[in-house]
Amino acid sequence: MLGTLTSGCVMSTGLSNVELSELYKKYGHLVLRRSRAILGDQQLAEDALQNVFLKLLKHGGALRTAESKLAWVYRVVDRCCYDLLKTRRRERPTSETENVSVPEQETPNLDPHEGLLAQLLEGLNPDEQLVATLLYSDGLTQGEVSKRVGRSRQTVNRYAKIIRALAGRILHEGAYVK
Amino acid sequence: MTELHPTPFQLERFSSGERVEVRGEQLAAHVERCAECGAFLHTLVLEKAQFLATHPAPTTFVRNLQQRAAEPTAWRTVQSWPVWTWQPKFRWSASFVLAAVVVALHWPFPQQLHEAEAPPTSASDLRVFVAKGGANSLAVIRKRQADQQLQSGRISVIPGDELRVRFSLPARAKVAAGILVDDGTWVPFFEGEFEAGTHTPEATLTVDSNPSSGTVLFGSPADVEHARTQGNFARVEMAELVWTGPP
Repeated sequence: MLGTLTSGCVMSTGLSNVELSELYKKYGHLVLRRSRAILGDQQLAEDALQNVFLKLLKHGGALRTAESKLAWVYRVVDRCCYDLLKTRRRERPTSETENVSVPEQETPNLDPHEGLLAQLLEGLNPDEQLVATLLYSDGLTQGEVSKRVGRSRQTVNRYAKIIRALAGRILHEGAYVK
Repeated sequence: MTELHPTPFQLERFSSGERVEVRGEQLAAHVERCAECGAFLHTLVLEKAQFLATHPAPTTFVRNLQQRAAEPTAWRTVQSWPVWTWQPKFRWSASFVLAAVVVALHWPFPQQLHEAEAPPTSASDLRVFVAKGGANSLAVIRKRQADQQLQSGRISVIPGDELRVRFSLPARAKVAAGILVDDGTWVPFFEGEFEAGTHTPEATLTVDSNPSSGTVLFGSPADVEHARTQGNFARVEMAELVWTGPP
């Protein structure tokens, strides 16, 4: 069942409940996995899972004709995760949550490097964030990233240098402070 | 992984049923002879099974999303603004206009600014937050012997499990939580006024040996009351408790 497209308008309709249920069954674990890898936080990843499917519910119509559905879903995941990182960064200085006693083992530490990508992304602008995710989470080459984001190879290479420099600082200094 | 292996993204695509070709070869052929990639795919299969077992059923998940989408949110308000306003060439002028409007509104009436910054405590403010956060701000801490886990969505329980609620608030608000057992029994957790931030009240419920499932309800006291008596769950956050002990 295809969503109706208004003539001359790039906005498409959302997805039906049945379509969304199928997507959830098929891609839910992958959405959570990728969110956790980007955000480095199980609870935030659960938030991202909700936000991703909420966006698909409202604006996911174009997914029906996507060449790779997973790639399309991952772009939504990336955007949702970047938004959550931005919110977390904005709230951090005034947040009272850091003073609250945290229950033990509340977040399973699945990978010691999981938080690194989140720290890295927090220090990058949106274009650099996308390139960082494609290079270091998806494992694409610079040429493939260049095609995917519609930027020249030199630009992607420049972003990659910025990303590597920041990653080096994070690894040496323990945490990135803007 | 060496250079000859497909990327994790390609393997994830393959695991979700997409046709993937790597350097002119079907990925299926590579996976058949590569133990490392086979192990990665096996991990994905296990993760999928675990995900489906520990998260709400698809129909429940979608129903909750529909409820969340039906509530008015600040995000939707922004989306409904004219698109041209946020195109680059209009962005600066729009920002100046917005700044001028804010100054004009607040300059002669400083008390309004003060009121706007006052922490929201009303049920309607909390509803907006709950609608924005959906199931995001509620989690249940399940302590099972020495193991303690923070869970949300669908939580399996057995006799002896100790449950506590953890939640986040954007501003000071009066909230309540409790468990609506499937047989209609209401087990209150706590009720009180909390500051902005994340809280884990001391109230603990221990699961007894009587087989029962239910739903944790969280929200303003009025909305929780409305949900448990009228069955209107649109304004509360929920976590499902599923009995997995002996029948």
